[in-house]
Amino acid sequence: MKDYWWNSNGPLNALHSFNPLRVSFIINGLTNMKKIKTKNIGTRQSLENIKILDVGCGGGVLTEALARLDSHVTGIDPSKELITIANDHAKFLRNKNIKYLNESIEEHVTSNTESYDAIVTSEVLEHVSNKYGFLTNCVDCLKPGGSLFITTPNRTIFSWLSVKVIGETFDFIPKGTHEWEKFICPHELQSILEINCKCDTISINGLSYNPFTNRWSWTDSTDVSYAIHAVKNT
Amino acid sequence: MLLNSSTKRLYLSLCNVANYSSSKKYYDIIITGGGMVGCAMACKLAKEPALRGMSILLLEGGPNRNQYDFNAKKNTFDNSYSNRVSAVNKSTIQLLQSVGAWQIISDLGLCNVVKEMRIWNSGGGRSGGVNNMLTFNNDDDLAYIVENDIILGALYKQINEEKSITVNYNSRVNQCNLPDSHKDLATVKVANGETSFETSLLIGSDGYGSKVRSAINGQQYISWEYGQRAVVATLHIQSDEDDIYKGHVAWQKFAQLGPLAVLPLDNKTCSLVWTTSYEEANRLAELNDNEFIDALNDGLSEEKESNNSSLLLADDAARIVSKVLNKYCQLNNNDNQNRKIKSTPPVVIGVIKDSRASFPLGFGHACQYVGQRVALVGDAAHRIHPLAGQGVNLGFNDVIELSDQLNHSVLAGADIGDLNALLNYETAAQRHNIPIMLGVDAIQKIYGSSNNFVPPAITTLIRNVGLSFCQSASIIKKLLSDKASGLPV
Ligand SMILES: Cc1cc2nc3c(=O)[nH]c(=O)nc-3n(C[C@H](O)[C@H](O)[C@H](O)COP(=O)(O)OP(=O)(O)OC[C@H]3O[C@@H](n4cnc5c(N)ncnc54)[C@H](O)[C@@H]3O)c2cc1C
Ligand SMILES: C[S@@+](CC[C@H](N)C(=O)[O-])C[C@H]1O[C@@H](n2cnc3c(N)ncnc32)[C@H](O)[C@@H]1O
Repeated sequence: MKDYWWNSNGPLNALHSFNPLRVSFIINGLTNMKKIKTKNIGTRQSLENIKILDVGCGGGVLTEALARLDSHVTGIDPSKELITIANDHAKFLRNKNIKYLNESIEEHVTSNTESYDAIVTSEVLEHVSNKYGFLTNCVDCLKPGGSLFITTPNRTIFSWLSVKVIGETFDFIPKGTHEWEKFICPHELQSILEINCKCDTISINGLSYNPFTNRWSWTDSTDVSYAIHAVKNT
Repeated sequence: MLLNSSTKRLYLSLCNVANYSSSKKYYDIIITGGGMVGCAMACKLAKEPALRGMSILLLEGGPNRNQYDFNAKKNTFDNSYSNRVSAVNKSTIQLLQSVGAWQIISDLGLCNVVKEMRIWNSGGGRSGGVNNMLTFNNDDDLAYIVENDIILGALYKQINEEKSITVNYNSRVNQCNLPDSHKDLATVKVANGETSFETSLLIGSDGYGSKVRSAINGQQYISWEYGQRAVVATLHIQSDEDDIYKGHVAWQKFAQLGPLAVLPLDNKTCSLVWTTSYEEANRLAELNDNEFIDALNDGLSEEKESNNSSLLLADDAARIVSKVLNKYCQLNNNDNQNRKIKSTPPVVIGVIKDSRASFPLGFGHACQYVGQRVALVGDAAHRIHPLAGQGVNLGFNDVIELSDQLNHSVLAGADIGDLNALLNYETAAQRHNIPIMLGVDAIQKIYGSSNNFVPPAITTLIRNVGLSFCQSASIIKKLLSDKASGLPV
């Protein structure tokens, strides 16, 4: 399993190759919110001293990237196995601030309200049944003015085709990983964030993925997948 | 995520791997081979803002040649030129500028601009010869001729000023262990050394016999020898006072046994790269300097038209030429800068003592430029015929591509040895290099064969394909002035 998760040739390679786009989405978002020190823009220290919570961090593919950029990152995941894998792998990081906890966001929020500059939850929301509860807990962990970054597939015929049919048929995605019915559309997500969570939406960007070349790209259409950046009201 | 239960055993064994022994010294990046390309790689990475603070180790098999005394160089006169020079193109110069090396070279006037190229073939007659010399001039600096040692010296000067770079001389790498997955590091061992080194990214710039290349899993290396040698020397030529481009003309003759290039170092001095058969190279080596000069002048002037009319290769050659033509000339057929002139080849009047040497020539292509925590640059990845003067320019282009990719991926939080970034480098570099390598090889096959029935084959070919020599030379022109200048055509 460990090999399976972290092998960059394996089926989860899609998460690895997604890193450049989602990390720059986070950096750009934080730069726009003036959270990144000018001297650190365009350097390997761009996230210096920024406190980030990665919810549903899995094996830590994204978490480690954020740690390498000098953020103080905490990854939480309900899966014990994945947290062990993530911890084990983090030994390869030298002198970085990374911490993994095997707990749910419901547990985490009890002692961490308003304590993060940014919350990241990437490719997780589609697995969550109670989206409303999940999102309010995430936002509760966020400092006022803090940023929430989410990436998730859309619930359209395209995402159904690409995730269920192409993805699972060709083994790009392990079978049974996704229940398409749980996917959420950008406008549904936006209204939960704005109405229930007191956030402002800063941007919604479409994403596409070509499994044959293993490349992600930004697109104008959110039909397949999208990234959203919202900010908690002060 | 689906999980299964055999996980535990797996990562128990992996924990052992993680406890790597501390007797190995760790560097973020290790570069093996401190030739021109390896040195440029080290400088470029050290200057990349995104990589600031990363430790770089440069392992060079040879001794520390602390001989590049630039000021001394400036004050002595032409007899100190080395016999190894390169024609560097625009993008190479930009790279050398970006690491501060070009400024050192140009401030001291240690480079010479080529303002015009004059190309002709052997055989005279209607299709070529000195009466049909083709010239390309070059208003925006096609290329500069610089001695290899000067480039190396300027790069080492910059390297010595970078705190993040450690250079170990006399350190021939004789063992490389590349990991199967990125969870392990790459290790290298140096001959006669006790320590081994560990790194997140191993860059092989150890030349065409690369040790690093053969350590890459599943590597296929396609290579052949051309059965030719390049005879090099530093020459004195008669200066032609009427020539407006005096001292800035590069000559290239496609002689029967192979191309012969005379590259300008200053008004009176040139560097020779004379491709010829093994036998001829050996014969030339035995001659004394005066005999050598005579042989060279004979080679540069008119050759008797061969009356061998065997045309076996014509069809083959026709196919290759039309392929290359399609690649390079379709895009731009109406370029009129080239003109045919009646001109004379350079007259060699002297050869600098001890400057004569010769090198074997071959072709090589590594199908994989990268692997887990490893990348190849320069001659380690590709070796080409020097007829278009492209070898080191391709290598410098690799340096630009690789540092770009590493820069991007590190800024996005990736490990410096991230395989996805390395694969992107491989794609970009091969897309640039392979067409040039094939083009140069095709030209070599047509013009450079030791088979003496090739020149008549070209004549037939010219008729067959409906080309004049002038047009077929525009392939070379395309190669030399567009692709060769490294900028998009
Ligand atoms: C006659 C001739 C003329 C040429 N003319 C031109 C020209 O005009 N223009 C042009 O662009 N190109 C030209 N080339 C090609 C050019 O010289 C090469 O492409 C260029 O030198 C390659 O540079 P490199 O740094 O990749 O390799 P090299 O110059 O081969 O450097 C390799 C370095 O690695 C070191 N090394 C090797 N093995 C090990 C090891 N195991 N451990 C540690 N160190 C090691 C060596 O000591 C050396 O310093 C010419 C080539 C020839 C033969
Ligand atoms: C596709 S993985 C994404 C991993 C990681 N975010 C990344 O992008 O590399 C989905 C992760 O979501 C986690 N997850 C599923 N349901 C969750 C929930 N309700 N709360 C938090 N995490 C959950 C899973 O354990 C799994 O690690």
